[in-house]
Amino acid sequence: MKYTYILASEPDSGPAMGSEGWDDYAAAYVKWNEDAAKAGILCAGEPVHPPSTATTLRRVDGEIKLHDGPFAEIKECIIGWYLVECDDLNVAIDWAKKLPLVAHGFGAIEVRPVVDMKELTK
Amino acid sequence: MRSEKLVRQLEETHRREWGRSVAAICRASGDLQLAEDCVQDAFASALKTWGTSGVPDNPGAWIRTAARRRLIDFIRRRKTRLQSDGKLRIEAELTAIEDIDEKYLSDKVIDDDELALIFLCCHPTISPTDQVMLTLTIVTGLTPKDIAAAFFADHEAIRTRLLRSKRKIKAARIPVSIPATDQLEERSRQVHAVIYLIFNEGYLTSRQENVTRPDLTYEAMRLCKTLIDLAPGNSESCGLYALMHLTDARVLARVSGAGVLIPLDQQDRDLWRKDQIVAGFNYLRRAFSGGAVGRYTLQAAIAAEHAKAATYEQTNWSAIVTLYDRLIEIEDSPVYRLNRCIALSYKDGPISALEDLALISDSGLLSDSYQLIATRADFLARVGHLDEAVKDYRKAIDQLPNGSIKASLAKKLAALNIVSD
Repeated sequence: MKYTYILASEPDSGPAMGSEGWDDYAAAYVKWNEDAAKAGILCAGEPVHPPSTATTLRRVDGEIKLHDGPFAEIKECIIGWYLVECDDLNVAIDWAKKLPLVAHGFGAIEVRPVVDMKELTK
Repeated sequence: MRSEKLVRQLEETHRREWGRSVAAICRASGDLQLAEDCVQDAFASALKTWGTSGVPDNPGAWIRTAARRRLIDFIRRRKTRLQSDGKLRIEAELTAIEDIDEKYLSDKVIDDDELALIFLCCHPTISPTDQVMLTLTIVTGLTPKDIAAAFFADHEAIRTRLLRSKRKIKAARIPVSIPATDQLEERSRQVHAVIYLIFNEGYLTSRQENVTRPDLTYEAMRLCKTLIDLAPGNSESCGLYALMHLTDARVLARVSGAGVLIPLDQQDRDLWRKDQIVAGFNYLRRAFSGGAVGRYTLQAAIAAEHAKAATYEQTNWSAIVTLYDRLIEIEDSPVYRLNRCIALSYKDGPISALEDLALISDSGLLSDSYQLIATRADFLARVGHLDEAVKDYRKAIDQLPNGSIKASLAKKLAALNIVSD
């Protein structure tokens, strides 16, 4: 069963790159990635640039309009995502708890089950 | 067989076997909604056949066998609609279901299934309100209509909420399993919280006006007993069960004929149910002989102190203050602090209790709640500061909507006015 982790945090909540604490924080992510890969649950994952770099597409009156910015204006912004494969939600949550973002208290993680196209045809 | 008797026996079977059957079928199907539908169908056919063939020796096993047959029918029907690779998978599913046939006869396996189902309904990824609704439908077998009546809620809204939760369970694959040892305590606490929510909903709302309303206090106690039987190692379950017995013992004494809430100090203790008190004491002993003492056990111990006292004045207040101290160590709740302060006012007198109350008030936890103000009014009256007491009672009464608590405060205020006149 696949799950996505959608990682979000408020701007400037964690240590900035190069600042004090950054090395430890980054190392914690590297360790999580290694552990998850070793356990065989990690499928993919990437950090993304801030919302100011986002472009949102939406069809309005039959025409696809581009909007400069993210689709939702919220206090927290999406900073990255993972795709993991776990037996069930308990396992997915246990792994998510260990991600530095929540483990260090710098943001939130939304765990969403991925639609299995094979299940749909059942 | 007379149909009245049959209906009673079916209801009894439904109460005892609904959750167990859903649990057993769910393990086979891996699909909660499907399991519920199969068990529902099994009860429908029981209604049809038991009238002529008689009630089977083991009604639960009969229901589960019938439900399992429904499940197999359903999966076969699905198989005919599928392409060949899907058919292979279904074939494997069917074999799996047929293989576990024998296990339906083993009570131990079903016990674990039922316990796992309770933990599923109280899973922390589901909101507490929805945990309550799910537990009541899936474990105790209430219908959405029953729940709507019990909570004075809209039937359609309850149905929608339940559907949403069940969809989440399926889509996110929340497992039907007994939590691992390192999470068992935390997860059990959640189950206790759900049971206590159900109990309080039944206990705090008046029961007289609607006789068709399901008795939630009864459902909560039955659920707790099931939990004790399934997981006897958790002593806090016994503490919770004791607390519910000792609280429910006062049910006839707590409301006057006019529907006014009667506070503990004015209750007629002869109306307290002795059988409930005895049961409460028994389970409290079991709770204390287990491992760590939790919040429900301590609350039950406080209720037991009240039950032991012949009159309110003869209550062992110093024992109650100590119990509240232990409770506050576990959870520093303003309500516990306030109740401790009330006990303190009888142990050390209202003057030192007023000082303690000022500390709670300063902490801002209860700020200007009516509970705090009404308590202060009571202390002031006992110290003899009647004018201030009257002022506080008025302030507390102003905060409240019409209801039995307001009426009971108004009564105290009226008594005070007579004295001060």
